[in-house]
Amino acid sequence: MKDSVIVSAACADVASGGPLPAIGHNADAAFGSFNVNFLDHSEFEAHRKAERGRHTKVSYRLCNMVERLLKEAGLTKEEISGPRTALISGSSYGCSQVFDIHRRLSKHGPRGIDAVRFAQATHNYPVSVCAIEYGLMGPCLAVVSTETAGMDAMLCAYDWITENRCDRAIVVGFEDFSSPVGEHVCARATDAPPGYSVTESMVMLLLERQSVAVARGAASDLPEITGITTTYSGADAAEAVRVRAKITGEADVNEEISTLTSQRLGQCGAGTEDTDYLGAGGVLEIARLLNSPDVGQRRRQHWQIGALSQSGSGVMAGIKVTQLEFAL
Amino acid sequence: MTRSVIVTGMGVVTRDVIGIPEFSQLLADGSAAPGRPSQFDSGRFRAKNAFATDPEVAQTALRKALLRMSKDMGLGDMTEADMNCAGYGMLAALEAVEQAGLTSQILKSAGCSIATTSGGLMDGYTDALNEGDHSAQFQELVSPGSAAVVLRRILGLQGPLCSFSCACASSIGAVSYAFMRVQNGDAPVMLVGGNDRIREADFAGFNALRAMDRNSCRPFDVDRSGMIIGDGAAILVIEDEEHARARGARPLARMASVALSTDSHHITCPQPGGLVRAMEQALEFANMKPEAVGYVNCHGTGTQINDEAEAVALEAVFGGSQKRPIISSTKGITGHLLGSAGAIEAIATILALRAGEAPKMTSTINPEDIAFTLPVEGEDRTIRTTVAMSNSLGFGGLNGSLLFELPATGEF
Repeated sequence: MKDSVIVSAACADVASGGPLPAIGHNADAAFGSFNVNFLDHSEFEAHRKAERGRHTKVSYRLCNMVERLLKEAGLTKEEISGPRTALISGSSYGCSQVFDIHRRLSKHGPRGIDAVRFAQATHNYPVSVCAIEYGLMGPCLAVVSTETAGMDAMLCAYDWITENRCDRAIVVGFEDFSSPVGEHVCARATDAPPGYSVTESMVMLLLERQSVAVARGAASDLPEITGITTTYSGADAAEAVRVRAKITGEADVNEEISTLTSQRLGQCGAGTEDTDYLGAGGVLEIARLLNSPDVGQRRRQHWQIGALSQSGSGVMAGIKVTQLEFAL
Repeated sequence: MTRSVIVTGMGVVTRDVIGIPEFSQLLADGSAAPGRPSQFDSGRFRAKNAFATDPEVAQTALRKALLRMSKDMGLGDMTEADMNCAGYGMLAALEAVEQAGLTSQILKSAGCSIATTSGGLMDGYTDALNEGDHSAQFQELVSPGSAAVVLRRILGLQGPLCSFSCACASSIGAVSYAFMRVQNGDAPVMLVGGNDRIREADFAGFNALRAMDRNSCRPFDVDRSGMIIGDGAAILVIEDEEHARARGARPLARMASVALSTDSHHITCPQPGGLVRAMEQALEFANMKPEAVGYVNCHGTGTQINDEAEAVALEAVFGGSQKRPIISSTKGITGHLLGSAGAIEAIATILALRAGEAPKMTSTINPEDIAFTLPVEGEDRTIRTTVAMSNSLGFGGLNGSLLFELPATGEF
């Protein structure tokens, strides 16, 4: 029997809505009526002041969220350490430190750049710090593609498990709106419709080989990823058939598939929410689906979830939820 | 169904050369000494030299290539911003596409996977912000994945699109994604590689780390004292073998496997164990024994810790072989292209395999006493098998290993 890939835990931190905060030079009326929602970073700020640690905002949240993810999955740090666990992040903008170091150099000259700051100025810094902290030795990468970044990361993780390159993979989707990314997000959204929001978030999924999860005592009916593939906007009928075949695995051809697709950029939700999560969107949609009582109420068991980018590329995943009550 | 993946096209842009024939010659002859980059004042840093590509030279060559190919290929228009963001990558891509003989129809089904260090035009945007300029011209092509988006738009690609930024292992990440897309049937053709422009912040950072040599990069030299930053682009066309066979394409090499691992040890200090696992997994997935490998293109930055860790890892994997591979690093010739390093070194590896000879390490004068042949002056550089490996390491303890194999004579 084919060994499936399951989602054994999901976590998310999503910024709550609110007025546009004061960042950069143009914080108010110039940007119209849209909102940019920031995560609460006060815990990180306290940590930074107390320990002057090696963490950045993103790496700090990521490491803490892995702890939550493991707790939810019933795993320990010792169980996930080693070469059979992979880690991958996906983000449209990546880490703001990569850009901020340029500003720092302009302001302070070469003496303003030290080894620690430079090491932090790489998009893979958060996943690498986390891999070191948790002893993860499998594949570890940072995707910085478009609004599909989180789903691209999930595609890689799925590849690795099905190719037997690892047994588990932690998939992270995030957006970090620290300066100068925050200013850019605001600038891009000037043409957005009233009520539109762009939201900072971090979301995490734990993908596992089903046999490995069952062997450690996890439930045997956790949500299963039945397939995942790439596509493009405006795809023709033949492409739609290929995508369906790819993401439904061994499903009956007549089985009803419910669709939750990010219609515009990283927008998330079933159409009622006008919030853009950029690269975290598609993965966040999965996390929400799996944590939502709606899954059971709707009695729709097989879901197609995807993300489409402004440039026209897309990633689609099929997820089968076998429990009638909410999945995770 | 798992598909066999082959390389059918390659393109390169570096400080010294634009184009594969010139790159082959550069690998045989060695390069001129690194010099001051024109993009910023390097005089204020401890180490001042780089292998920095002249943007004007590359842009002139790109305009010529676009003029020559646009009509037949139905290419989109390239703006000034597109060129600043992805000019090197586009120039390399056009060469690779031409060599592979891809038509505009095939390009529609193709995807791209691009590696970068920082990517995009965010530095320009940040400068503008500092000067109080919030104008729209700085708002596009800012995110790190922008180069891939430009390639997609100009070349009319409709297949998978992805960008990776994992320090100096970025290219291996991009290759692993592209390899999987072809192998799993998501796309018959992928353009994969790296696109990087030299950046003052990276120059400053490696200076701060004291990882840069003041004069030259001397990998595996007793007197080595660091790397020299380079920039440019390298793009490969990889393709489903059946697809290539059906259209009569010429295979340059078979991409036998890709493997990734993490040290889980230190952000900037590599540990051999991680690279050992990557190399072993690459061999395992290709169903090959270490003896099959005739040449290893090492990451070989010329820093003390990198080359030392790599030598230990190579000994662990190939130490028991009857015939050890020749090992070398091409960073003494091209400089360290950071995010694009793995891509240009993959091309150097394929060229070496096809020539049957390892690139000469012209900058390594006093080779370290290791149990592998280094192709320095006076050494036999003959590659004895049809298989070669290319390794990349990156900040954070990231490792990647690629295996290439020459197609058998008459196979196509």
